[in-house]
Amino acid sequence: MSGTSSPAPKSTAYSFLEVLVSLVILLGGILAILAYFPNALRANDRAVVLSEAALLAQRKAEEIRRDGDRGRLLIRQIQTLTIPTSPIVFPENSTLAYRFCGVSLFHPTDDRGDPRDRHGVARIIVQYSQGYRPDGRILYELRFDE
Amino acid sequence: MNSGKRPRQSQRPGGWTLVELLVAVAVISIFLLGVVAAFTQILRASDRSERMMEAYQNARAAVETIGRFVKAARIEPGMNPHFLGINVPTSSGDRVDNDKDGRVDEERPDGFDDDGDWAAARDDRHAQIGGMYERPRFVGVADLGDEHVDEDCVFNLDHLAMTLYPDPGVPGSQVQMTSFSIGVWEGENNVLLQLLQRSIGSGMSTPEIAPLAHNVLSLNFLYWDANVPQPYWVEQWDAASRPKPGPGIELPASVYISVTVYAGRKSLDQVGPNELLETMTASTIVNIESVIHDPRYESVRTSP
Repeated sequence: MSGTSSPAPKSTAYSFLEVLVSLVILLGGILAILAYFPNALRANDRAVVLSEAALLAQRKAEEIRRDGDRGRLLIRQIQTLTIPTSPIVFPENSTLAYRFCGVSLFHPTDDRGDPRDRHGVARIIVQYSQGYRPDGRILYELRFDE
Repeated sequence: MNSGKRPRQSQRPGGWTLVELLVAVAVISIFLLGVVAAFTQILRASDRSERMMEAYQNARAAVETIGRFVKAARIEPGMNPHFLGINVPTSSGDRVDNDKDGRVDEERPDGFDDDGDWAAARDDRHAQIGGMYERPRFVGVADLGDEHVDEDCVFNLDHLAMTLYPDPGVPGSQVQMTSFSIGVWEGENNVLLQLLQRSIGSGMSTPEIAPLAHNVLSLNFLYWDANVPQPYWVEQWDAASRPKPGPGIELPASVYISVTVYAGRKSLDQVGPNELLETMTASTIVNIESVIHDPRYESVRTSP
């Protein structure tokens, strides 16, 4: 009876369009939450990759030390390298590759005093393989036989 | 009709028709279905990633612990066991065709290309260092470190016992002995166990047994024999049968250690005999320092 005269109730109820808009916003929120999870998964994978890189690097260092000949030629050669050897993909994990070098790729300039960037120290560098990640990002660097 | 509808609409200005309600419910259900599906996927992937990470970290920690002890193995020919590595192969592996060649678990973890699928041009892996190569004696030869060598293996349940230097924290102790094997720990199978004993006076202490990792499916050791013209990995090692004294070194120069841990969702004793096994493997190589610093080792080192 009074409905025709008062427009007030019209503004209290939701229109179909309003409900649709709110649903879209809700969906956007849920998607944003879902999008967060792959990051957490990647963090797990990265933890595994980093520990694997460290273990594989140690293993390569031990092989070099074991095979060193009387004049320690193999290690001396690595110590003199200023350009790293070309990456070789690990048979145990095709996403990782190793290189040998006498200078650090993390800290290329030797500022003395900091053992991390000292030149002439044999290093194994573990990075992503080109086939897995074309940028070949470096993950781990191990100095050995100092 | 028209004149009848107008007042009704104005009476319930915000109300929905049945059709609108149905459409809204349908839209919401589609949204929710998608969200639930995505969520289940994420939970499954996250569960798997957690299991894999945990299994790998367990295997890695065990490999590193064993590695620390192996590195400190002692050349002490009077001791028994001095250095005893027993190879115990099994007949099955993870039942997965890891190298996708149509065969399952066809190799033994022995450092050789048992199934003959190694191809020099494709699989030889040696960094070129100046004019030399790493693992110089194995350029053009299938060896551990190349692709397609030991890539789809059966499990081993190896056993390794050795003599160590004394624990500096225990005064008066002359020697320690330790061993690693897979056994039963508090009623649980597949536990990687370390046994440790110290000398006290003229005898040995009662062994301390500690679990290093649970759900271990494979423990494999290889030993680098430097006493032969072509040094390479062997599957077992008994220092008691080595020449003593003499030019031969009683211990291997290097030990390859590999631990495979079950990473599946079910508990291990509920897995059927033909089900595929999800596993994670950690492996490493450590040199026995007393050997590679032994003057006798100089005469057997590899020449590139």
